Amino acid sequence: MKKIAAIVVSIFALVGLTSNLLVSKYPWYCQKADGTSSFPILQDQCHRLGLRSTPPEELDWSTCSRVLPAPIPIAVGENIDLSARFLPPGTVEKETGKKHLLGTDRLGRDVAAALITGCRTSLLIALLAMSLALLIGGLIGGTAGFFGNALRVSIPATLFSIAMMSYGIFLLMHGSVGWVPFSLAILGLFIPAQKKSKIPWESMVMRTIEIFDSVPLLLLLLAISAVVMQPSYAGIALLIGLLSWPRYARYMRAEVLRLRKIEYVEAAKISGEKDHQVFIHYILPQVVPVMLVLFTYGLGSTILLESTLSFLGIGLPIDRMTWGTLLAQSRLNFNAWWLAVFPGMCIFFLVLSLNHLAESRQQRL
Amino acid sequence: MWRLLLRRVLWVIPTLLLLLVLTFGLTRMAPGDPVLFELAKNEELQNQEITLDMYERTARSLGLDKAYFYFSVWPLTYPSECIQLPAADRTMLTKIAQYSASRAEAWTEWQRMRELSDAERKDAMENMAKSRRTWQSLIPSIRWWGSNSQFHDWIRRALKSDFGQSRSDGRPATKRVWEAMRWTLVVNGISIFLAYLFAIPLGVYRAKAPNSAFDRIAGFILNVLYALPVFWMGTLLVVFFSTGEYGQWTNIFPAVGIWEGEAGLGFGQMLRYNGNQLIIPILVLSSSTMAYITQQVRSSVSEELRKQYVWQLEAKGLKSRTILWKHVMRNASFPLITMLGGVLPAAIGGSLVMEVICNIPGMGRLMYDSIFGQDWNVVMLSVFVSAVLTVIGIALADITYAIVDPRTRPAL
Repeated sequence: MKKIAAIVVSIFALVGLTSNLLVSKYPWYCQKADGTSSFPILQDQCHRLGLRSTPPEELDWSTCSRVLPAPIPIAVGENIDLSARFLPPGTVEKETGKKHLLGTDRLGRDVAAALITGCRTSLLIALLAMSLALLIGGLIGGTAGFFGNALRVSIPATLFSIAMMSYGIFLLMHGSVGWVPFSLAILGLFIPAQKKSKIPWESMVMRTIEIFDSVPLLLLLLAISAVVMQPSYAGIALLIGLLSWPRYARYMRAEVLRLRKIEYVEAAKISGEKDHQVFIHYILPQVVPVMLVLFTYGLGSTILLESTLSFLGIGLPIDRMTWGTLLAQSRLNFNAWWLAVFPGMCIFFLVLSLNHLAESRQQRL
Repeated sequence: MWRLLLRRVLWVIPTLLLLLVLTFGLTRMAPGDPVLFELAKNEELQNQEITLDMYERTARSLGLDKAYFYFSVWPLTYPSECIQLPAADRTMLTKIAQYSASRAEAWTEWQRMRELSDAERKDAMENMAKSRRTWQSLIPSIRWWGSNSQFHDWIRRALKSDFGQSRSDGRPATKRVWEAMRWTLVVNGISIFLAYLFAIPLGVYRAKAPNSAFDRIAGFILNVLYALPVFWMGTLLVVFFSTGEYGQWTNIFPAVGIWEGEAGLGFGQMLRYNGNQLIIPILVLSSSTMAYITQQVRSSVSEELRKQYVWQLEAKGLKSRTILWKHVMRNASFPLITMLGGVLPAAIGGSLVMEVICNIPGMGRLMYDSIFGQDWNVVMLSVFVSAVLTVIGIALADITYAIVDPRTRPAL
C-alpha cells in the first residue's frame, strides 16, 4: 500500500513539474520540409523564462515532415471554443481534428489539459502554504516548547523591535517601503543586553493557538478572499499559510517539550552548550520526522481546501482552470459526468496517497 | 473546579472581542462603497452626477464620515478631513499629502488639483510622484477620535444585536442569519449525532481485535471516506442521483434544494415537506466526520485496553463485554467529549459546501450568495455567528469534560 501511495504521489509531482512540457501547442520535435529540425517546445519555455527574445515560429505543424507533438497538443487558457462545449471524453473534433481525451468543459476547453495544469497549481499552492506554516509554526512552537514560560528577553530591545516593526508597517500602508525600520527591527532582536526579564511566552502562544482553533478555517478564508477581490495564487497560499501555522506550533511545542526533559538533552545543557547549539544538535534532528509527517498531512488538507475554494468560485481567478473549478462546472450540466469524475478522482487519489504516506511514516516513528 | 470553569468561560470573552474586531475590519475592507450604494438606491438621483456635497451628506447620515477606530495613526501631513471623502478622492488626497510639508498645504494643493482636467491632473500627479517625499509625511501622528468612531457605533449596535441591514432585501442581517442558522444547526446536529452513533461501536470493535481482517478492511474504507472531498462526494451524489439520465432507478432525489418562502410555510412545515432534501448532505457530512471519530475511538480504546486494570478484571472473571463497555469505555469516552471541539469547525466548514451544492438555505448558502451579492453585513455576521457557535461548542465540551471525568476533580 505504501509503495502504491508513494508512486501515486510521485506521478502527481512529476506531472506538476513537467506540466509545461505535457500541455503545449508547440511540438516537442519538428523537422521541416527543408530538412532543418528544431525543438519548438524548448524554445517556447526559454522564451517564457526570458532566455530567448523571440517566441518559436508559428507553423502549421502538419506541413512538417516529422513532428513529435506534445502529449496534449492544446494551449491552455486560449483555447476557448464555444462550438466544442461539453464534449464527452474521447471525442475528436471534426473540423480541427483535435482530440479531447477527457472531454471538454462549458467553454470548450480541454479537460485533460486543465487537469495537468491544475495539478501544478494545487501542488504549488500546497507546498508554498505549508512551508510558510511550517516555518512560522516551527519557530513559534519550538521556542514555546524550548523556553516555556521562561523566555528571557531584554524588554527595551523587544520594545524597540516592535516599535520599528510597527513603523515599517505604517510606512508600507502610507506609500513607501521602509527597509530601514524593518532591518532595524530584526537587528534589535540581537542587541546584547545585561538585564533580561522573563516573559510568559508559552502561555501567550497557547492562548493565541486556542483563538485560531476556534474559528472555522474555511469560513475565515472565504470571507477574507472574498474581501480581497482578486486573490492570486501566491495570495491564497500566503493566506492559508498564515492561518494554518497553529497546528504546526502545537505539535512542535509538544515534541520539543518532551525532548527537553530527556537526559541527553539535559546533559548537553549542563555541559555548557549554548541554547541554540542544544536546539540544533540535539532537538532538531528528533523533531524533523514528526514535522515531516505533519507537513505531508498538511499538503493533503491544503489541496482539499484550495479545491474547495475554487469549487465555490471564490478563491482563485475564475478564468484559471483548477480541479475545483472543473468540478464546479458539473453542477451546471448534470449530464457532463466527466467534469465531476476526473478532477474529483485526481484530488481524491492525491489526498488519499498523501494521507497514507503520512500515516505509515507516523507508525514508524 | 468552579474557578477553572469560570476561567474557561472568561477566556471566551477575549476571543469574541478579537472576532468582533476582525469582523469589523473585514466589513470596512470589503469592496463597494456603502455611501455610493445608498445613493444609487435613491431613484431621484439616478441620472445625476454625484457631487461631493451629496456624498458628504449621505455619509454623515449613515455615520460613515467618522474615523474607523478609536484612534488613527496617520502621517503628520494628512488632513483629518480625508475620512469623509469618497474612496477615489481619499486616495488622491493622501497621495498629495505624502508630498506636502503640512496639512494646510496638502489641503490647498488638493483643492487646486480638483479644478484641473483629468489629463492635467494625471500629469501633475505623475510629476509629484517623481519628487522626494517630505520628511514631515514620514512622521506618524496619533489622532484620537474617542467614541466618535465607526467602530464604537458598530460595537454599540452589535451589543444590541443590530448588525445592519441586508443589502439584497433590506431586512435586518440578524434576522436572515437566524433563519439560515436553523437549517445549519439541524443538518450539523443530525450528522454529528449519527457520526458518533456509528463511530463508537465501530471504533470499539476495531480496537478489540487490532490488525484483524475486520480492523484492516474497516480502516481502509474509513480512510477512503476521510480522504473523499466533501464537495466531490456531494457533487457525485447530486449529479448521479437527481436525474434519470444514468438509469431507471437513479432518480431518487429529484429537484434538489429547498427554497425559502415556499407559500409562506413555517420552519417546521418546511422541514416536514423538504426533509428528504437533507438526506444527501447529512449522509456526506456524517460519513466524513464518522471516519475521523472512529479513528480516535479506536486509538483511545486500544490505549485503555493495554492498561493493567483490564488484566485484573479479566482475572476476576468478568465477561469481556462487561469489561469493554462498562469499564474500558467509561475511561475511553472522556476524550470523545473534548473531540467535539475539534470536529465542530470542520463540520461547519463542510456543511457550508454541502449547503451550496444541495441548495439548503442554511448559513453556508446564505454566506455564499451574499458574497456574490456583495452583501457584506450578512457575510460577516455569518462568519461571526459560526465562529461564536464554535467557540461556545468548544467551551461547553471542555466544561462537560471537567464535570464528567472524576479524575480531573481533585486537580481542580
